[in-house]
Amino acid sequence: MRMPVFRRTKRWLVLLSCLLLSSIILAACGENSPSILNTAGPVASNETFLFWVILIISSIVFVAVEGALVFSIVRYRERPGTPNPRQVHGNLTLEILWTAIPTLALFVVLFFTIRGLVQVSPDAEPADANKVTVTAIGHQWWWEFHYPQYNVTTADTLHVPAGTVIHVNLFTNNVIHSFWVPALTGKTDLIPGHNNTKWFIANSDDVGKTYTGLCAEYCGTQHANMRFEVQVDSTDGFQTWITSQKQQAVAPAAGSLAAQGEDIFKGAGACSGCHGIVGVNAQNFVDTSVVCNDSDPAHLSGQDCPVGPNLTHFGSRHLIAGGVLVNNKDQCDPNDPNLMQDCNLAKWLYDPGSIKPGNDMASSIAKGQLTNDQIKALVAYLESLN
Amino acid sequence: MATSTIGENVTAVRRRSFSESYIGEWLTTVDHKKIGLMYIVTGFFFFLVGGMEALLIRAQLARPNGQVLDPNTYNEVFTMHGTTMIFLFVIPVLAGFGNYIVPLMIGARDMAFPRMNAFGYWVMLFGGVFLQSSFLVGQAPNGGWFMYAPLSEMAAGCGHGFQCTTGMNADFWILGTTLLGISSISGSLNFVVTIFRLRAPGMSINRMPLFSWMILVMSFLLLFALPSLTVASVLLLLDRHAGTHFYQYANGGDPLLWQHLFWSFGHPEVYILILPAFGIISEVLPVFSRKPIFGYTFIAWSGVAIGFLSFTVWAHHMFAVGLPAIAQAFFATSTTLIAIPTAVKIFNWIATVVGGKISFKVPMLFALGFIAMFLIGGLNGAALAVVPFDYQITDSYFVVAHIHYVLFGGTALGIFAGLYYWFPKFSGKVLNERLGQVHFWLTLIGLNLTFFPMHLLGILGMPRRVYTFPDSLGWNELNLLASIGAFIIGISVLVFLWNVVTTLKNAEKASTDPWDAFTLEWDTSSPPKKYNFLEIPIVRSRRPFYDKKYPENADWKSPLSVH
Amino acid sequence: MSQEQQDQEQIQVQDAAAEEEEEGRAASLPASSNASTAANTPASEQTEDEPRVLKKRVKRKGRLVNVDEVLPRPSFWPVVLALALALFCFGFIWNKYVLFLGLALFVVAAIGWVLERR
Repeated sequence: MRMPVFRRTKRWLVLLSCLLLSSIILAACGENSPSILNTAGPVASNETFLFWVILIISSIVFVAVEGALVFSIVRYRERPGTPNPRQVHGNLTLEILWTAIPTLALFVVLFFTIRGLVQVSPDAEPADANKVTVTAIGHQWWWEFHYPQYNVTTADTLHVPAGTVIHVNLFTNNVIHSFWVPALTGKTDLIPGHNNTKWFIANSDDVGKTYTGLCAEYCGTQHANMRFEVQVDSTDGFQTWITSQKQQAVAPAAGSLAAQGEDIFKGAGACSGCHGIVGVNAQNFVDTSVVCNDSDPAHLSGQDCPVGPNLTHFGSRHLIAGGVLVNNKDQCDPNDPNLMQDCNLAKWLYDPGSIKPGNDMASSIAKGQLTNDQIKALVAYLESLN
Repeated sequence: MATSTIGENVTAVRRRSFSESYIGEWLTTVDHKKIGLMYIVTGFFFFLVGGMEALLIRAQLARPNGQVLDPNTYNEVFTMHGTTMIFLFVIPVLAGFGNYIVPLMIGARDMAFPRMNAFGYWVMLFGGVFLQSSFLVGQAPNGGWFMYAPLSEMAAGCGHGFQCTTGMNADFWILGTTLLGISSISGSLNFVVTIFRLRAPGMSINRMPLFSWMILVMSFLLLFALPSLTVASVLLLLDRHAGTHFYQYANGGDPLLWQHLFWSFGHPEVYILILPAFGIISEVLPVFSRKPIFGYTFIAWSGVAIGFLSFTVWAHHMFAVGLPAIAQAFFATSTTLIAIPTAVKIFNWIATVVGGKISFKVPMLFALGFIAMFLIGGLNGAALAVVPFDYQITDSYFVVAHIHYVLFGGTALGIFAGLYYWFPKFSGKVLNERLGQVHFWLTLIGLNLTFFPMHLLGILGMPRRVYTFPDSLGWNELNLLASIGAFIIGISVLVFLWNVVTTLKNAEKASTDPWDAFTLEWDTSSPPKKYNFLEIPIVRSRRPFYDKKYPENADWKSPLSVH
Repeated sequence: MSQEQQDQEQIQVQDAAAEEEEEGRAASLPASSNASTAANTPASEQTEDEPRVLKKRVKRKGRLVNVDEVLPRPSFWPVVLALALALFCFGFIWNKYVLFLGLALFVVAAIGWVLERR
């Protein structure tokens, strides 16, 4: 009776340790993961440092307690002829001891917790003359980024200069979202009516890298597909980017395919109902966190408060469709016969509802509602907007 | 009471015809044992429902870009998985154990309010049917078991650009959980009064078995925590249908109000789910170690301490909502404090085993598995209290790992320990040992295979409540492992069901006391007669049945024991 | 087992007086004297009535009664009341007539519950 149990315990232990090992190896394979262990800035480093602290303490406790448990199971198993055990009811000294020890350990952890809490809190934001302020606006289900210092609005990709303090205002006028870039900073929620802020710094030697950002609070049907990325630029590169983004949209050459696309875009009840392009149907970039500050239905459509992202520099973006698709421009030559298969933008325009079921664009564009010719023209126009 | 008139006999005869039919007997019963069994069977049925929902979730997430469920269905399924497991499996099954066992343990003939007891069960059953029926009309709750406003709102301005819950989905959840709340309140009141008023002579409160202690603490927690949920739900219902604006910031409300109200129910709730499992473990470990529980007083009062502290920790679910740093420090501290009594319990359980004569019957296997797994749930829970680290892993799969180590590795293993332990009491037959061992090892392997990789997924940045994930982020293998583990757990449950069916059908009648147990419920026939005890026993120590069986070693004779 | 059989069974019932008597008996055993004083809080409320205790002490410690006298009888009102609540909720979702049916049934069940002889 008792032997099989113990042989199995050993087998189980072997299995479990294989599992642990293999999962760690597998985890190492996930190089592209937005892992919290590959940090790229001081805020995330602070947070991850605490992971190692708690990991070490928990590992010690784990080994000690599970060890004690396994030892006593083995040592005190019933064997033939074991006498009845002494009926021990308790021991006050022991009780005090094992109340005090975890208390001590937990207070060590608490010390690190509160120290870390102070280091990363919004109040600890360092002074920086070059500080860049960004308003991160959570939509269902995509991210919009407005730079109030430069009056520039973009979507899906947050450009930040390396080595500079980035101050983020978190705004939503719909449901609750949460801003999370594991490599740079932990989460803070975007809550209607709450002016949450956070800050982070991207290491200066990480210029050119991109980091995945995610919405971390359940926000409806497409919560899973509400990603963005943070692109770390050099200070000069960032200024160049800002300068180009401040321009009005490029006007297509008259008579070109792109010009046809612009006409489709501007058509009554077409794309321009939800999207703005500066120089075409919008005068300026708008900060939707200011103009859409209440959820009055009248504000939620039209030019004042566009429902969809601003497309002025669409062609220069790396991601489209709320971070779900890569803007693979090189596959988007309108004359390419495989356009509908290869170009993500064409696929998106053809059937947004299959790529991201339930999104607002799918309620305006049914599958196949746009003809292939219209899609070609729109692709030509949008990809030309650098 | 003492006299019986002829008129009374006549009514009794008339009523007998109604309650004698098989169905009528169950429909009209007010016997705590029958009601307890109905709770357990119903709860287990909903465990299968919730388990199916879990398997759907894991099937969808087994591979990147899964196509098993569409996003909306997935959101309904994960919402209902959480709601079902918490409100329709764990609470009813624990209430069922409490109903069946507590009156027997404390030497009572029934619960204090037998009809209210029956009422509580039926409300629970209808509430569960009501909640699950939402799938039939295709409007199952889809806002998560936490039902955050404003996503669960039906507000003006909802629609283009602001998608909230326009269907009846959230109403099913609000009304369903309110029904279940009514059930829990009536059950809890009943437990409190029963435990305070109906103990056998000599059974002072500090001689009461620890399971009864934990049921008592659980009942108080339910009584004080549920009103908060009811208030939150009613306000949401008014927002949705009566034009109020409690959670709508555009009209002067505040979405955070929901979170505060919900979690000030939700955190005591977590302890409501685990404390009775602590109680079961504290009954099983001594019996199979042949020793009294170590540090009775500390285990009982640490349960009470957990009960009190559990009302002060709710905002640790909300570290990311942007509370002031000082508030976050407060909740980090209270969360640290609540870990201390939990640690004390674990040490006492291990000390109970030390020096014992351990027999590895299936209930004991589950109890030991409980300690091993619950420790992991405690440690990763302590990690979540480290606020800056919590910013990184809250709402990621790490939290999913934590809650499942606590609620599956903890509560569910505790419930299985209790089922194997008390099954002979319920049915007179002992569940098959061999099948029980298979069940245990499959469960243990399955649960570690499912939930351990989730820690790593969280660290690799996978958020919770996502219906799909791209294949480029390195989450594929771990998700596949988790899904395989989930199906192993599924198989283990089938083994358990097979065990129950074959045991009931084929096994021979066991003795009334197959485990040589210590507490009063074993001092009755199996299953007990309607009136439980022919003569109400007199209690002189914490192990009355042990005293009766081993009078020469009785606890009340021992200088070592407090009796 | 059938109701008939159960009705045959006689169980020993201790009313409050019998419990007090029990306490008196236990107190005569030296080993458990502290046990009985620590315990029995429910019964001790009545010990203030000293003369009664003395009188009851000579009484028999329990008496045999019929099961139905001590245990509550089955009742279908709990399930009806619960059903009424559920109908109310179903009515809220689906149909206001069901809602009113639930309300009506709730009133009926509550009255029935109160009026039923126990």
